[in-house]
This record gives sequence, structure tokens and C-alpha cells, in this order.
Amino acid sequence: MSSSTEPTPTSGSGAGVLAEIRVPRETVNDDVVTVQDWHARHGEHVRVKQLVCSIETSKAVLEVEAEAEGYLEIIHAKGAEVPIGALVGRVMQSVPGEGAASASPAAAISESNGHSAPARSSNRLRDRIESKRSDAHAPVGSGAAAPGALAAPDASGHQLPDAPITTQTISKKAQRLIDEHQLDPRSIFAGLGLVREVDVIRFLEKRVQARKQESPPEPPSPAEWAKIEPMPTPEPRVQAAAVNSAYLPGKSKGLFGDAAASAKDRGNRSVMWLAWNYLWRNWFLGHMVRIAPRGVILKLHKMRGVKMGRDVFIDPTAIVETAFPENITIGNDVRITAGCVIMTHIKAPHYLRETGLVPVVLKPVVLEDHCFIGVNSVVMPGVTVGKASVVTSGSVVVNNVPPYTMVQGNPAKVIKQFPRPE
Amino acid sequence: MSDLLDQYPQDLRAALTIRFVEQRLLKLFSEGKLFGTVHTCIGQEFVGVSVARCLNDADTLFSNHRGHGHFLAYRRNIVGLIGEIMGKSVGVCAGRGGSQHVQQDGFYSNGIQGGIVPVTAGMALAHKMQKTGGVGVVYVGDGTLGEGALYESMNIISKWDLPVLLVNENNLFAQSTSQTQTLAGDINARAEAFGIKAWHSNTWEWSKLFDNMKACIEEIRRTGRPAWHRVDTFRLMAHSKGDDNRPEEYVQPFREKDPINALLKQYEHDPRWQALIREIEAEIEQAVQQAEGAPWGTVDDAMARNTQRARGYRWVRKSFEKEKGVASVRKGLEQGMADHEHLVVIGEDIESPYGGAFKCTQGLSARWPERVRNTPISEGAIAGIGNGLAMRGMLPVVEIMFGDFMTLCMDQWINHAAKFKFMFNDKVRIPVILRTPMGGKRGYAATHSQSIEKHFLGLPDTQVLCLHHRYAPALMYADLFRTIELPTLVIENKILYGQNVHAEPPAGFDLLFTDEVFPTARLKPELGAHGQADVTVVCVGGMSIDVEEAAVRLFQDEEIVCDVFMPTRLYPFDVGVLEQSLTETRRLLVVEEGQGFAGFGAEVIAQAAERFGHLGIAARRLSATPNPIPAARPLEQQCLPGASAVVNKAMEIVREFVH
Repeated sequence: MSSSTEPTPTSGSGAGVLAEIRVPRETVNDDVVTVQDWHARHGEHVRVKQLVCSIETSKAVLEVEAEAEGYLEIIHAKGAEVPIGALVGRVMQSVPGEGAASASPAAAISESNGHSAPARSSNRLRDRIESKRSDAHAPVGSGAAAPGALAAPDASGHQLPDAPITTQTISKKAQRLIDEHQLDPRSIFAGLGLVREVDVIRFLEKRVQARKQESPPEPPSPAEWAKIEPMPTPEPRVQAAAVNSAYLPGKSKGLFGDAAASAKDRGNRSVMWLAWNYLWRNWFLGHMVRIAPRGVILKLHKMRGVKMGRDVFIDPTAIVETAFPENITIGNDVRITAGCVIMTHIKAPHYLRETGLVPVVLKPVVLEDHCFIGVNSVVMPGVTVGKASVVTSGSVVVNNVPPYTMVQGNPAKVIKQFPRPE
Repeated sequence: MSDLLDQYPQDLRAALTIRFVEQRLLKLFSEGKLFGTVHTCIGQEFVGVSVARCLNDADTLFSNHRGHGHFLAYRRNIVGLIGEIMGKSVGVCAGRGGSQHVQQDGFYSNGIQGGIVPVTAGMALAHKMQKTGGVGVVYVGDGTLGEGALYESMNIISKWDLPVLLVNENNLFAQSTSQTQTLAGDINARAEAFGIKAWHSNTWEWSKLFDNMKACIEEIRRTGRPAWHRVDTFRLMAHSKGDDNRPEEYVQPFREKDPINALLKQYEHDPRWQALIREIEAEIEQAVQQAEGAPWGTVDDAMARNTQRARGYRWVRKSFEKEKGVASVRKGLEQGMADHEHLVVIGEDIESPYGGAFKCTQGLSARWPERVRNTPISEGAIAGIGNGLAMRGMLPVVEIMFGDFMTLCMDQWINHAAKFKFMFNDKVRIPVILRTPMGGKRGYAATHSQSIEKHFLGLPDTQVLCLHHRYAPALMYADLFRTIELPTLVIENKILYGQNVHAEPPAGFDLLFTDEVFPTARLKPELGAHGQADVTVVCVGGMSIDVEEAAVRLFQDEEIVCDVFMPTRLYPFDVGVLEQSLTETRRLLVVEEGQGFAGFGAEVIAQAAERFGHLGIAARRLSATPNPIPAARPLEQQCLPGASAVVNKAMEIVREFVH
């Protein structure tokens, strides 16, 4: 047992310890035993071989004697459940202070001794149960029958009465949102045992609607949209791509890319710049790539901002991002065939974005060297298609594709691994 | 000398009946009217007759594969025997048992060598405890002298002073193999070594055999001590049919010497004998005609007997005291002993103060010294004694110290306990309970850690129960003792003994039970109207602790919601209990600690595929790695699934199957 997990001794330093009282391993059954009784008070003077403590195991009651003469310090009070080997008390040189002796039995069990994984894991579980028990509400089902007796099926027969939900488990994602919006989950999610992120989002959505009804609806301005914080990307359909941060968009690109990143940034943009961005790059060049001769297509894509290496082929019918071409990086010797769509952003309708049901996504796409994107495939934001990988026709790629791999389907799954040359 | 008929009228009639019935059976076989084969006892008739003439209806008699003569001598039911061998409904077991499996009143027979000895010992123990004055008789051929179960049982029979007569029919051949090739040492010295009085007779001097047998059985009744009676005899016909390789010149002297042949020759022209023979032959002919005219027996809906078909499950809440698993088991046994006076607990090291290797029976022997017994280390024999006790109206609970040792009980479980009810046409009840702990994670290594429940699943007319930490063993045992009809294996768990069983679910889950006698527990996530679970998890035995921990972790860390089912009864098992959950999740994960290949998980998934395949269910199994269990804790943890493995497997199935 490491000292860090021990309860703090009340008498300060361990210098005055004459003997430790630990739980012996007596049976093969138990990892956790109960302190049945103390036969001496906290601070009482005890002699060598004096009976001080009874430990209840599944087999029998063990009697523990003091190994030294001194003053008893009780660390785990009567009724506490303690792991094998735990320190339940000590014999001290001087009278110990108060405090530990009054520790609640329930508190003891959370002090895992760290000896063994099974013991620790089961303690974790019991820990939660203890906290549930200590709740003011009655435990589930206790109304039907006395403990120890077989409870009869509920009188109402088929219909189970709503049990009072005394405690909740809140997922980490939900907890993050709850903290951000400073919500009280107990009152808001009463009747819900497991609180998920989607439950919190649903609540926020209702709150938005309720507020709209209070004040007449007004189409939100782009500035307001921009203020809505992007919601976390739903897992696991779209995962963050591990790419060079140099390709990531700037800190506050917001909903409209460079041109309309935020209210503040937009103020600094010139009208000419906006015109260049939208008219020239996204509209004019975006259309030209579809009708231009093959030799010119690559040049036009580069002018749009797509970063690409040598020997790249892009079919005129492929859509290589409509709004943020600069987020696309293409390596050497890559073929993007007819009908492919490579997207770096997801922008849902106003309502969905506003309520956070479908977050705004803007993530770069990387197509590494020698990869092949088959006819009519879709590559979603944030995806990196690894070196020399094949996306077969009609696939929808939502997760990263490892190098030397063939993926297929919607969502695309690995169907084949190529031998690696190295 | 004609006064022999006056002196032994019933006995000679019985012997001749046996001879003529056997000859008629061989004829029926040649005519193609019998299934399988017949083992005739032509030449050995007087053994059965000598025993049966000393028995009364309070006694029990267990015979072996060559039991026609024993049966006819004791029960005199010609049509019942011939009908049974022909497979007709007039047979004593309506054609289910056949030649080797005949049962009527106190007569039983089974075609397993040696295994019937401990069963008879159990019946004799029941006689002794119930003070019926009955004697248990069991036949062992000289071929059975090679079986270990015999010696395990002889040791116990002698030590416990059980009224058992072991009749050793020594006909010199085991099937086709001569005793000279297989038998070492002296036959009667074997019994004497166990302190059992050994008698010696032969069928050629049959009136002396009658006297010896009478004295022998009277001594058993008087002293309550067992006896061994070696009877030398000779089987004139083949072991079965057409498999006699003994040269004719070897058999011929025995044929001439044969007592019935000698009698028939001697009284060839005696009119009383001729009348008797005609009378017996007419009786047999009438029995054959009656059997031929009778309809076939029936097998009722076996599936309905052994599986619970789809029906709606009602979910209820239950509450019970939180206590250590071992304390709850002990409480259940203690309550059972108090409530059922015919409940007997036997096993190795179970008496106080030791109270069993895991302390489940501590204190019981102090309260009920007569009904709680330490046994020698003879798992096969004590399982058989349990079977015998159960068949004579007791309620035996047999503790097998480690689940691994269940392999030694296999014969008793599969070929005896599981068979008798059906084979004997539902005339026999065998409410025997085997309790045994399985499971690893305690460092007991390869031979004391296994979870081998799968080897006991799927045996018709048995049930397999399994403890987990969400249902109190005391409640389960109370229900079991109240309702038991079939042989029941209760799989306990070493980890659970030291853990608390309790009805307080982790936060966010509701704990529900089906309204069955042995309920399936369910940790149902409380998700409100909109939510639905992601994965249905079924776990076996001690894995319930790990799965529950994993369910909490999965939700907190990954928002994966598990709907956890913990069946208390593994066989029969009906996947219908998962219907509602699977419709919602369409993902099924089964977690077991034993080997997965052809295990419980495989069964659950197969049933789910058959019943709910249209839902497009994705399924995964989590089980031990395919190797024996190592001793060292870090190695053991690599092999046996724990909470982290459950988390990973659940994430895998949720990630991979996006509905």
C-alpha cells in the first residue's frame, strides 16, 4: 500500500508509530473485509497481545491483537469495508488526535490499496454505489419489500412504476457542455439516469425555441451565426485528421472562410478582396475547371488555391471543394477521377447549425502521394487518404485511410492491404 | 428327484422363463423384429433367480447391460420386457429404454459399466436414512472389475456401512476378451481389502448358490454392512449378436455342464416338466403377440420439454440484502436444510470446522450431522451417490470442490442423471443438485481456474444455473429446492464468493428481473423517451462484475450505452429475453470467461441469428484466449477477459456496425 492512498494520520508524522494494525489475508475468498468492531477506544492505552480489533471475513471473525504497547489510533471505524492488507489502525507513542476515528464507514472503501487490479476495479464500482446509497432518496425497489425478502412483483403487474432516479451518470462530453452552459443536470434532466451529449443539445435547442417565441423571430445575421460556437464533431463519422498544422485554417476563419471569418476580421477586408474571393476564385475559376482543356485544369486548380504536387490528374467533372480550396493538399501522382467530390466543409441549414444539432465543420483534406480516388467517390472533411491508397468507386470516405490500403463502401471500410515496398 | 419342482417351484419356473424368453428374443432378432442388439444371459439364469428370491418390494436392484434375467427373476413381467425390447408401448419404458435400460418399481438397469455402483450406493444410503430396511443390489460383471467407479464406491459403501450387495457375475469374458488377458490379482481379495465380506458361489451348484445368497442377504439386513458375492458362471451365447469368437470346443463342455440344460435333459420325459415348459412357452408366445400388436410408444414434444419458447417477458424489481456471495450461498443451504428434511449435503471437506474449501457449508454439519457428510476424494462416486439419493426421494446437494473436477463427474452426469428420466419413460424423478465453483483470476492456474460450463450445456433433461452478483444465491437456492424436478448443475464463482451480491444498480441504470423462477437480471439504462441503447451485452457468471464496470466506463468515456443481461439459467436458455433490447440496439456482445468456441456465447448468437436475423444483428463474442490458464497474475490477466477488454470489444462493435 503506497502511503499516498492512506488516510492522513491524525497525529502528524509517522515518527510516533509503534506498530501497525493491518488486515491479514486469511481466506482465499476475500479481497475486501469488514471491520466488525474495535475493542478499544481511539486514544486508549493498549498492551501487547491485547485484543483490539475484530475483522469479519466471509469465513470467520478474525481477532487482531496489538503488537506493541501504546495508544490506539483508529483509522477505519467500525463497519468500514477495507481491502486486504489495509492499515486499519496503529499503536502510537502518544495519544493521537481526533478525526479519523469518526470517519464514516462508507468513506473507507474508496481508499483502494492498489495491491491488485481486481480489488481496485471492484472498489471503483462500489464507490459509486456507496455514493448512491448515501443519497437522501430511498434505494430503488426498497419500497416493495423488506431487505432480505424476495420482493413480490410490483402490485400493478405489467406496468412498472417509475422508480425514483436518485443519481445520474453524466458522460464526459455531456459534462463539458453542462459546464460550458452552467446547467443544473439534476433539475433539467430529472427522470434521466444516463445523460448524454445529445440530451444536453436537445435541451439547448428547446431553450432557443422558447426564447424565440418570447421575442418575435428575426433572421439571424451572419454575425450571429459566426458567434455560434462550432459544436464538437460527431464521432466516429468524422474524425480529426492528423495533418500538418500548416494546412489548418487560421484561428478564426468562421463560417465564410477568409472573407467572413468573424465580424472583426470582416471589417478589415476590402470590397475588392471579397470580390476576388467570391467572384474570381469560387465562381469564375470554379466554373472554368469544368470546361477548360485538360492541360489547363491543373493550373486553374492551383490558381484556386489547391496545393498539389507533380503528375496529378483531376477530371473536369470532379468537384475539388467549392468554397475553401486552399484547405486541400494533394501529393504527387494522384488521380481524382470523374464525378468525385472532395469537401473540406460541412455547412448545414441555419436551424440545424444554430441548435448545434449539426455542427459546422471545416477541416483540411490531404491526399497523399500515389493515391487513387475512384469514380463518384466522396471524401469528407478532415480525411487524410494515405500514400498509395485506393478509394474504390462510389465510396464515401469519412475516416482516415491508412497508406497502402483499399477502402470501399459507405462509410468506406478497409477491404484490402497492399504489401508495402519498404 | 422330481421333488425339485416341489422344493423350488417358483425358482425353477423363473429360470426356465428366462432361458425361453432369451431364446425367443434371439429368434425375434433373426426375424428382424428387434432394433439394435440383445445381450442374452443364457447360462447365467440362476444368478438373477438366486438374488430375486431373497428380495422384497422395499429393495432396489440395479442391473447392467445384461439384465433380462435379473429383471424377469425380480419382476416377472414378460410382456413388459419383450415389448420394451421390441420398442412397443407395452414395454416397461414404452420403447424408450430398450434392452439395456429397463425400469420397473425397484428395478433399474443401465448400459454403463461401473457407473451403476455409486448410484446403487446412493439408493442404499437413502434406504438407510429413510429406515426402509431395503437393500441395494447391484450387478457387476467380471469385465467391470476394470472400472475405477467400482472401487471408489466400494470404499464409500464400506466406510459408511451401506446395505449394498455387489453381485459379481464372473463369466470369464469381457465382451470377447478373456479374463486371462485383463484381470490381475484375486477377485474376492479386492472386496476384502475394503473390509467388505466376500462370498463365493457358482451357478452349477445352484441350490448351494441359493443358500449362500440367502445367508448373504440376511446378513446384510441384520448387520447393515455391505457384502460382495462372486458367482462363477458361464455365458453360453455371444456377448451381443454374432460376435462370439470362442472356439466351439471351449464352449461345448460348459454347454453340457449348464444347469438348465442338465435339468431339461434329466426331466425330458417327466410330464410335470413338460406341462410347465408348455405353460411357459404359451405365456411367452402370448406376450410376443401382445407386443407385436401394440402401438409404438411416443416421444412428446422434446423441444417443449427442454426449451422455453418465445413468450412475452415481464420485468419486475426485486430486492435482497447486500451480503458476500459465500454468505448468501451458505444462507441458502442453511434455509434449505431447515425447510426440506430430505435435503442432504455431501462433498469433500465440507464438514465443520473446515466448512468446504470456500466455506460455503460452514456450520451446517454442526446443526445436521446426519445430513451433511464428508466424502473421500471420489468425485465420480459422490456424483453417482447423489443420483441414487435423488432417485429414492431424497434431495441431494453434491459439492464438487472445483469446477475443473466436474470432468470426473461427466459419466454420472451425462449417462446417468441426464438419461434416467426420459429413458425410463418419465417414471423416475432425479432431483439432484451439483454445486461447483468455476472461474479464474485467483492465481489457481490451469487445473483450478477453468470455466467449463459449456461442456454441460445442452444436455436434455438437465438444467444449468449460474450465479452472478446481481441475484442473491440464497433466493436462487430457495427457489431451486422448492421447484427442482431435473438434475441441476449450479455454477458458482470463486470471485463472487468474496464479492457482495446486491440489488443496487450503478447510477443511471435500473435493475430488472424477468418473472421466471430463475430470472435473468437486466441493467437497463435509464435514457428517457428519446434514448436507446447502443449494444446488448449478455454476460455469464462472474463476468457480471467486469461487464457492469465496463458499462459505466463506456458511458462516461465514450457515450456508448450498454443494455446488460445476466442470465441465471444457462440451460435451457431462450434468446427471446433479448428481443426488445436487440430490436433497439441490433448489436449483440456476449461475454464469457471460458473458451468461446462452441460455448454459451456461440449458442446465444446462433439463437439470435435464427430468431432476429431479419434485424441485421451484428454480434461479437468475448472469451478467454485459446490456451490453458497460466498461474501468474499478469499472464492470467492477458488470457481472461476483464472490464477493459469488454470496453474495447463494445467500442469495436459500435464503431464497426453503424446502423
